[in-house]
Amino acid sequence: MVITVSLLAIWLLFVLLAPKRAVNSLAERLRATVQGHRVYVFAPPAELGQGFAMSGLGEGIRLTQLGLPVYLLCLWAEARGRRRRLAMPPSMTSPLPPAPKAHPPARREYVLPPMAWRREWEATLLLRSHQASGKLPQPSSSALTIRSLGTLQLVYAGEDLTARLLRAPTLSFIWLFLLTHAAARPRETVHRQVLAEEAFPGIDAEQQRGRLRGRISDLQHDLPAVLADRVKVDGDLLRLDLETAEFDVARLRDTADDLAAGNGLLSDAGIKAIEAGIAAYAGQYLPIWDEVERQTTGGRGSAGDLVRAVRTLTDDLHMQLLVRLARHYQARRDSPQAIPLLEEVLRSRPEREDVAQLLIAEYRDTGQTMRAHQLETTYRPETAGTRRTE
Amino acid sequence: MDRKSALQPYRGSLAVSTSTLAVAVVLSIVLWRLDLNGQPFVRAVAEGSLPLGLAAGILLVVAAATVAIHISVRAPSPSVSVGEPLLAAPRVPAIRRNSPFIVVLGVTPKSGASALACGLAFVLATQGRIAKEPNRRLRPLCLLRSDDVPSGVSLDSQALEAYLRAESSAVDDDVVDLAGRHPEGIEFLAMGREKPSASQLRQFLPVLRDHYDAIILDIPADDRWLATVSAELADAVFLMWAPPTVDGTLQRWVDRLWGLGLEGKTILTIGRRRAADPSLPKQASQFVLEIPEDSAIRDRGDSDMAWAIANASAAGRQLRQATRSLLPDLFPQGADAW
Repeated sequence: MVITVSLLAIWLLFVLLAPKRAVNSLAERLRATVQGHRVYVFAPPAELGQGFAMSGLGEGIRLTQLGLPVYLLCLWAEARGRRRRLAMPPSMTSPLPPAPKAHPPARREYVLPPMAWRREWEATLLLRSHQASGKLPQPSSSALTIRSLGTLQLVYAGEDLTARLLRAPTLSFIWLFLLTHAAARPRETVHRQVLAEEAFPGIDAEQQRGRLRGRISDLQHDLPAVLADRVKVDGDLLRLDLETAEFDVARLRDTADDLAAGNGLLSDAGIKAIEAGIAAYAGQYLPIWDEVERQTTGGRGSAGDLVRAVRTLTDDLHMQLLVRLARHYQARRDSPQAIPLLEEVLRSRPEREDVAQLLIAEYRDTGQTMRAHQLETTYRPETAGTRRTE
Repeated sequence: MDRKSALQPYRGSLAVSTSTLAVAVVLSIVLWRLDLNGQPFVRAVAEGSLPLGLAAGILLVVAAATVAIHISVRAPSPSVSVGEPLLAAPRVPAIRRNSPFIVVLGVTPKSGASALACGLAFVLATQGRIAKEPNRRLRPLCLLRSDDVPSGVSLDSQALEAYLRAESSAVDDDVVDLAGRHPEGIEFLAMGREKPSASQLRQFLPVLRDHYDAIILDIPADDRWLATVSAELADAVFLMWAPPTVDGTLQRWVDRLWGLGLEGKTILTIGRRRAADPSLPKQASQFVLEIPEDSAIRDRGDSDMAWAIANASAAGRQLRQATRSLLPDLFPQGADAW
């Protein structure tokens, strides 16, 4: 009996003290566990079931496997690792905002400045040279100069009358409406009732006529004579007489009518006339109109439509001149001069496929194959349809 | 988990304990039957019964008390139900170049290659930085199969394929517009069935390097030609394999990369490693990374990549450690060395 007890005690000591699995990696495992990289040094306790007894049994088996000294060492390491994990934030992310989406860089298009800039600069140089030599060009004393593209300027005998016109909103509306009508349909008249409806919308027709009558009589008092005298009244018909005036829209139209047709070479005079026409186009027609209309009618009439029609018309004329000049340079095999003109047209009118084809040919002639390829890609037949529908 | 599998790791020790108990019982019966009480050995054993019994008893009480106190204080961790593998520290080369190109080559299906590629990109996007531009996060690009793109990324999966068909000879900057952006700043490009050709890949890289801080390509090894070209162009190749698949594919790829002279940038990556899997021999590869089987990856929803930076994820820890060693220039010194 004593022997049996002794043997059982020896067995128990063996079971409780000796590790029964390989512990050659113990140091490595302890280090990883202490650093919090592992939850358990070896395997987790056997999951035999719920409750204190079953948990105890599972843990007891773990103890048996490792032996009490190693088991205690493992418990210590696991507790250290657990504390370390708890002290750590769940994850670490940079406090900086995330990187934005990548985008292809904007391509730098190096093009020559518009012709208008060149003309303006040349005019400035000319003026300076005249000023330096004391030979300032004398303004025509008999002609009223009307600049309406990109600005509004009424000059007569060196005096700017624009401010005096704009001082009276209704009168300026009437005068500018008649000017626009003359620009759209030269030498055609406007019926008094049409003008009355545009200037005084939303009131009785009789009242409209009465008010218009009053304003037309005010013209002589409130506007400079050179502006008032231009308004010609013939019974119920009115028009603005621009026969002796220098009107930029009329000049642009005349130049385009005379020279825009054709493809070949231009005469020197033709080139100068077109360049002058291009330079004169300093922007859209009558940019001040929207403000005048807002002050007078609040935009209730349809006069704005007429102004927009003239804006489109002048832009078309400008494009015609650019293309014509470009074609002249093409005929002269002067691609460096033609390219900026065509580029300017295409910037304003991307739907002009004919101009795109001309430009592609010019790019190829000058060895700019990459640009030609890019433009060809843009104006491929399948994408051209999409552009047209846009 | 049933009891049989729960006891699996302890089977050996239980067998040893039981067999030694049996030996003790048999020995005592033999001694009793042979009546060897007068023998010096038996006498010594009998005389030692008291101290032995006392020691065993004390030890038993201490052990029982330790176990009782331990299970009262601390319940078993629910996150770990099976043994964790003992992972070797990652051995990876150091890449010191701008916009590194990293290829993750999945040798076996379901080895976790896509998870590794996305995780790598996530670590770079959330924790990476460039020393000379410390005020911005990195913008990595991840090229992978359309099925593997995380669901939160808005991306036309056919866009790249269509682009490559249209621009078969030249790749330009417009390609970056095709990439979808993850909220953390990673961008994804999806490869459809038609993958970039070798020449397109060569053209791609300089363009992508202009826009991204790192380019990560996840590619299956079955596309052998593209995989070989990618590996040649790459700054590092994760040759990803998951045990216990042993069909010779891994060895063939190791031999192929060795034959191409690319062993200096090839990292043999063991994915989904479990405790029971045998360790690789030390000389298997110069560079080795072990990614353990991790419930944080397995149970992630919608291809969530947060595991890569979660401190609780063992796989994330391995990946972060490997990434820091692999791309030392993209991580500031001393930050998040955990």
